Amino acid sequence: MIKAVIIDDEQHCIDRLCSLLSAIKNPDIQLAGTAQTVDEGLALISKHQPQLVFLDVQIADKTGFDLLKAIPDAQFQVIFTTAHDRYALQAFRFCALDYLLKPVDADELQNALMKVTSMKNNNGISEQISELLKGMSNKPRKIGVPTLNGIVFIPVSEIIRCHADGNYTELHLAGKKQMVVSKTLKEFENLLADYSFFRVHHSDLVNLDYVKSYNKGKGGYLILDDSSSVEVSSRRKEELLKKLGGM
Amino acid sequence: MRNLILTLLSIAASFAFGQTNRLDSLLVQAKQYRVEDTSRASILNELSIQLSNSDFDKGMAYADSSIALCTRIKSDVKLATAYYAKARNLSSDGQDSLAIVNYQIAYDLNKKVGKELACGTMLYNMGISFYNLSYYKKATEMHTKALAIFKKLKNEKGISAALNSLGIVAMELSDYSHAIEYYLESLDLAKRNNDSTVMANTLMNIGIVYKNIGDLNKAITYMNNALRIYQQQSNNLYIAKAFNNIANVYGEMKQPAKALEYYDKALEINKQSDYEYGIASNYINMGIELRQLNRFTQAYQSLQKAEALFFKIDDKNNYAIALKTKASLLLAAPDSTLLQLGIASPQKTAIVKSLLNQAKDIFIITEDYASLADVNDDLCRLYENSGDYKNAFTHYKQYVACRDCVLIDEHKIEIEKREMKYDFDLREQELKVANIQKQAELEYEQVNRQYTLAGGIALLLISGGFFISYKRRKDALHKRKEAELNASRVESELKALRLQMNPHFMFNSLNSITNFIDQHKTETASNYSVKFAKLMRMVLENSESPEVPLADELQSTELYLSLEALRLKPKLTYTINMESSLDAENIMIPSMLLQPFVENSIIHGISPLSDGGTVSISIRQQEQWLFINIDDNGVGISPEKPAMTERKSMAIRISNDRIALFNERHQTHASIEYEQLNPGTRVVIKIPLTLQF
Repeated sequence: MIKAVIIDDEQHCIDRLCSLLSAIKNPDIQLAGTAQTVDEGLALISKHQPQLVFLDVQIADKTGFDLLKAIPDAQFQVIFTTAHDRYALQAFRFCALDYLLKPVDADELQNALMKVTSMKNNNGISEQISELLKGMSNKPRKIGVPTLNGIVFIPVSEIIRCHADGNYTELHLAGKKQMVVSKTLKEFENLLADYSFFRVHHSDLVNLDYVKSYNKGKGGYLILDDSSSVEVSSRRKEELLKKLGGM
Repeated sequence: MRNLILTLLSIAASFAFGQTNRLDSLLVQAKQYRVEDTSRASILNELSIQLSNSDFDKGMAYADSSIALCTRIKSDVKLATAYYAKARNLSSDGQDSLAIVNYQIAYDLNKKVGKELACGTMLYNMGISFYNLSYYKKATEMHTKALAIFKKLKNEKGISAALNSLGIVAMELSDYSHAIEYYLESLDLAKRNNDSTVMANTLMNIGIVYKNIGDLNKAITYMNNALRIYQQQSNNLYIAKAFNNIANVYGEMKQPAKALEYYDKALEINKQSDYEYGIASNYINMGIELRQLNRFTQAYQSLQKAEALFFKIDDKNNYAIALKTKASLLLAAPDSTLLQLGIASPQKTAIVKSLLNQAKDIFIITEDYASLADVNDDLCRLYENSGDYKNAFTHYKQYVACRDCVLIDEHKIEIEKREMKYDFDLREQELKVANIQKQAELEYEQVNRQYTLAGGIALLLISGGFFISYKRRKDALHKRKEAELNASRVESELKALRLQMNPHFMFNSLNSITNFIDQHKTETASNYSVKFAKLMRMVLENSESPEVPLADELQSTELYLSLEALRLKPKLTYTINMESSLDAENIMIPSMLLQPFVENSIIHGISPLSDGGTVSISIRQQEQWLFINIDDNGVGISPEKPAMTERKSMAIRISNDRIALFNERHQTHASIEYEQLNPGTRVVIKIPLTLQF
């Protein structure tokens, strides 16, 4: 059984979530209460110590982030709910935090809950939240990736390149480290769009800060600081050279 | 390119009236003849027209008193001429917007009294005013109408004037093939009529076209032919101009010595006729060419003369350009030259700064932003070199601001060019809405431009050649900028069109949703709306990028189809088939390309059928093309219902425009075609196969 609360300033959103939750059998959710302001929400959380908080992004004139800031060592899972806030969504994805888009889809709610149950003992939640809050004020420096041992945060600057392997992505990190993440390369490409990453090929996303040299050819290839060489698709060559030239 | 105006205006003037200088006798007549009748009106009108090139205030005063007189004596014929005279004055003063209003009144009056030739003349002159305002599309429209009238009346002078003007407008739009067509037609006509003046002018214009497309040898040949005719006619003004133009071409050919030879010839003639503008512009051009030959001292002296002359005739802008050119010459000159000129090298920077600052103050008044940008750029570099970063930064900021002004202006012209090319009035309307803010900025810019032209016209008449030399350097600098700007313009217009898709899609969707709720239980309705929200998000996201992977487009299309199927249950079924060899993640297509056609098939093809039908989408590759067929077995095109015109929704019209722009952007031939099926309709979208990687 999972004890949950809902914090959202709009009654109809609370109502919809309540009715969807009541129809879900597994996992068993016990709704401990709802709140419509940040202050009410804080009181609710300290009173019930829930394991799961459904948290709206915009709560009247405050935000869900304000609420999280007030609880430095949060022990609960968070599922954000929002209608359309691209900036926040990117931040959630960056920290591998769950979110639901309003109007909430029953299937997506079910999926999110299953994930929460499987991550029940996620000790990393406070790190996720603190990275999220950091990312709100500055461009985030670390990216959260799901692994078997929970969410791991990697400094973006340590990623040399990402290589596609079907629905998985191999991350090649500085210091000859490597890891496999169950996210597609496209997801990484989107997440890292604001950084100096460039998709040189169908299956490779490269951190241009690590480019040592470029060798000409039809598309040519790059040699990176870890002495690996990465092929460049001929269609991406021109844009790549433009990017490299502009740096 | 500004020297084109010379030919344009000169033809216009000689076509509309004889250039007889009867100003004095007219003034006497106006004083003596005071009877309030049409004769006096004629005198006033002619006076006003004669004065239009020299004395705006008086010209306007005569036009206004003629208008008052003609209104009193109720002579529409003379009233029309009076408004025409007023328009001429306004146009000469650079107030072309007002000129157009008055030409229009004159046109209406002439039409009322049935004077067809005059109507043609008014349209023609309106065209020139539109040209002056850079409304090239309108200018072409007016000239074309005028041409039709002149042709009908077999008025040869009118025909050749209109053809030449159409050529000039086309040239301004870099539409050289049309320009040549117009000129050749005019040349042909002139040859038949043995009209050597028009022949020479046309030959000169053809020469200018060849110069602009970089065929410099041909340019020289044509200009020499024109020159020979001018020489036969002993038309000194034009001989000088021809020499000047030929010199420009040699300059472009990087043959400064040859260019100088021709400038010398032009100078000699201009000196004979005591033509100070001409002399001054010859000197400044010679200064530029002499510098190319590293003859710094002579270059400097030449520029000094130009500077003094421009100052004398109070041509502020060109005076400032002379100062500025002198400054950059001094910067480049070796110390030995400076010594000869009596300038100690430590003083150099101070002198250059002071020259540039003088020029800058003038450019601010004359609102010549292009030159102002150059001067600020030079000043910025000077300060930077002397380590004065604060001042360098100030000038850099000013440079950027000026350059933006120029770019916005050029941008406007670019937009005009495009509107010309794709004469889609509807789309134009829509773009206007989408770009209201942009338009506002442009209009602001337009006002500035008018003033620049107002001061500029008279000068450009003679010194167009000089302008080209001066512009040459700037053109090279801006060429790449222009190309980039052009790309980003098409990009932004495409984006405007993409974004216009969203409201159409949303309101159509809301319509479907309401429809659905009317028929179903709340629970299914709520599921339906959740799915719709998802689709909406997808569409908004996709419309952010110009092109999306085919996989994404198919995903949203399928979601859309599934919702429509749910709504129309059980009437709509659908299939999506793609050749298995295609990699949908890697193929890029314009976003939201399919949806309007699918929607059209459903709304107009399937839903009228009582038994329902199927929408089938199939995608295949053939050589370098991707073909997307959208078939429905619905109502189709029937003979009694010209369905394709009726069935075209706003979204489909936008899609057609998007394809046209897409073709321009990618230099390709994507198309959308309709075929009749039995039963039903097939839409075939053909786009070049583009891979992301």
